[in-house]
Amino acid sequence: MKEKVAWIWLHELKGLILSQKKQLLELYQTPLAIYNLPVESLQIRGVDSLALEYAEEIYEKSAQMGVEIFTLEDAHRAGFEASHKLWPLVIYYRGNPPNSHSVALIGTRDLSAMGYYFVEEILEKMRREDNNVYAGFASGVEKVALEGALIKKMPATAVLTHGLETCYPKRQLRLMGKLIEHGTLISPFPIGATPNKYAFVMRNQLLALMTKQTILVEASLTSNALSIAQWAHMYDRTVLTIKGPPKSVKCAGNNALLKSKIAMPIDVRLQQDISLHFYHKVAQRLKIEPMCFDQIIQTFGTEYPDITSLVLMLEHNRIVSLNSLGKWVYNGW
Amino acid sequence: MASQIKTIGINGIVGYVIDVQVKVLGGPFTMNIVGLGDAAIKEARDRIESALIHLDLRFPRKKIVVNLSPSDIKKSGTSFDLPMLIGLLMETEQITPIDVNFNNIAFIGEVGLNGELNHTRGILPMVVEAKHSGFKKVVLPRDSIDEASLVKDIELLGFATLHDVLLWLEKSVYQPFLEFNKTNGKTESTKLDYSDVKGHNHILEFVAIAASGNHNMLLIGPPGCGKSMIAKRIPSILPPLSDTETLEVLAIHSVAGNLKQHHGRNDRPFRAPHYNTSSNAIIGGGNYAMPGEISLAHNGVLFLDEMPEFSRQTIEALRQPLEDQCVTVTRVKQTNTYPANFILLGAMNPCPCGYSGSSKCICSPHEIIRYRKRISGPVYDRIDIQKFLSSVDLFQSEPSGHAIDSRTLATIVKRTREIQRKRFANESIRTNSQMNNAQILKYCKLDRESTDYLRTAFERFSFSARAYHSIIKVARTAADIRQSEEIEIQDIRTALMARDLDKETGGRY
Repeated sequence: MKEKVAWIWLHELKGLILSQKKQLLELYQTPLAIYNLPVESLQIRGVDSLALEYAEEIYEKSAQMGVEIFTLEDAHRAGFEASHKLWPLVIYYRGNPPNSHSVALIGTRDLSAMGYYFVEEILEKMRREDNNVYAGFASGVEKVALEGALIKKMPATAVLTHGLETCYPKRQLRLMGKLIEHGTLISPFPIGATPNKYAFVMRNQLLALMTKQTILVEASLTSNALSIAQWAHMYDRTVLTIKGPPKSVKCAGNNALLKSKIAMPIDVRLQQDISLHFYHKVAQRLKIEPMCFDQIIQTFGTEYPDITSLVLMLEHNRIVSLNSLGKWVYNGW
Repeated sequence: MASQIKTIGINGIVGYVIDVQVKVLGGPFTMNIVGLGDAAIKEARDRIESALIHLDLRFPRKKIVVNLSPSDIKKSGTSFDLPMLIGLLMETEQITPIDVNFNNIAFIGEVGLNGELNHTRGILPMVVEAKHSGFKKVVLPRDSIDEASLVKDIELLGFATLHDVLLWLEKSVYQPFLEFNKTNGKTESTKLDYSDVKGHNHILEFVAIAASGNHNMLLIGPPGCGKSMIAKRIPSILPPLSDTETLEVLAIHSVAGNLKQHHGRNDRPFRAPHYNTSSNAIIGGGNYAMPGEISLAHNGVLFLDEMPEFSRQTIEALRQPLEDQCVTVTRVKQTNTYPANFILLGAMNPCPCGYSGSSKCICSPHEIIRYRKRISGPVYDRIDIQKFLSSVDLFQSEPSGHAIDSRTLATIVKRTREIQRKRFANESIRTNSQMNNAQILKYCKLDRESTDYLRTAFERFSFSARAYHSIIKVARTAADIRQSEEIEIQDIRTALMARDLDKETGGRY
């Protein structure tokens, strides 16, 4: 039996919890040795040869789909801090092998323009420090981080909640293709696994485990990204975040992490021209009250004769946008 | 040899020459009309017999065969009565025409039981075809002269009764028809003015663009904000129809049989069907593949108020006409292709209750999405200008000098249309909205700055290729309004401001 198949067999084996499997590995060194043990000595109920057939099936299907197996041993060799009790025995990946010099970028799916520009600045900082970008695969901060990293030709890794033969959400199929070609896709789940609510918890834990640092860009108080930050803190990883305005709802999660000392503030600033746009009179007025274009003309038409160009310039820079009610809204914090 | 009289038939709005051949044979008394005529043509036998008896003329009790050649094309209508009757009289030698060349004359008209000549639908395209086919004269009912007189350079002879026709044929006696009373061109719709519209000056800029370039437009706003008011005033700024356009419009209305309802010869049609109107009535249909509202709006405006309330089938059926500016209606008895080059003006509320964004709104997000989805993406995509309107504060005074009236807009539209007329003088199109991809490349060159700006917007808002070209066409019209040969970045900005619905996803990543 191939060694990788044995690893998959042990990883997928029912009847033993992860810590027990790791204890067996400590005793017997390799999954193959564990496999050759008599069933009675394992004191497991319900273990049978089907587990091996399933492992072989996963291995063959993975090989067909270009999915590689990254074992606990591989993780140690690659320099990951894989000794944590929750580190899985097997991780599946496509593309380049996982890189341990890594930082996770996390945050809300409902990303604001300010969060978008902060992601850009953080990516630039990471590029200078030669870091690998890790993120989930959701829209918002994670999507922008992965796309930005690929554009900057940085190593980018997405951690998924399902088997690597499918794409969830489907609208990110193109990003998935780019990551397979130029980056890495990782999942703790074998081919055929579909996303469910428990999968997201396991993915978040893995994301926190695999990275040395976690940076929360933007999150409200109800954002799931806060749980990743909390996991990272629990695993003794460094957690950083951006301090936001005290009363802002969009970055209330950032401020909560800072207040509870789970995270430290990161030193990152927006470029001056972008910052000026955010503090433009028209933008600040829309922050207080979304307005339709006729109202904008009535309020600012005298002061800014070319108000159309001004609003479009702000829209072009993502500072303001038109919502589904036909009103222009501010996209900052 | 059979008598041969010329007449004109119509297929859709296109006429074609028909030879009416009449032969009296020996045998039992019958009158067979062959050549794929419909029931109305077959009933002509009784009308002809009655008219002849009324004039003390003989209806021969022998076998009569009337052939409508070409015999393999389906024919319909009652306009063949007169030529059949004349042919029968010639065949039975009951009339002796003097100095009449039947090869140069077309006879058109329905004959009543007492020998009167009655108007039929489709007279205008018939006379147009008669002129194209080289006829010098057209004999038709006096009631049809008004409609037929739009065609120049052909002699029209209008007669009230069959007796007058025979008098002209045998004795060259003809009483000329007096000039009809032309309308002053002013109709109800042209009396409306944009100076009545308060607080939507920004939207009026796009109304001018829509009218100038023939671009489709959708207005979205709460009840009472002025959507219908703005839409109904569009005819007040559209330029009058050119001669060619007039003929096209009147031909369609003539075929549809509602020429008298089309007020004002030079006014552009403004059709506003109720949302309960059937799909066939909007697109065209019926047993004889008649034109629908979209063809009746040709060279004018089709206004769909409460657009999501129209049936899904009706709205989806608009896709092809919006793209191709024509519609093909296929039925068992006939297939016709009608032109349908119109400005589609739609009006809708932002949500089912209409008050989205205010405290009055009771709609859930799912209800709003479901309501908006009644109009599919491909139809939205074909609408070049999509603008949100807000409620108007009637008590807020208008800044002085800012009221825009129809006269000002009409001047702008007229000037811009003239620019397009010169631009497309050697093309088969008339307005910017009709440009195809090759014409866009030829007439809408963009500088580097505009291209980059457009590329960013294209990526940001995930525009389709159709939307991309639509933006360029609108930018072309905006540049024409500025009387600029070149499209500049300000025109691209204006065009991007025109697509509010596409930008709803602009804040999401």
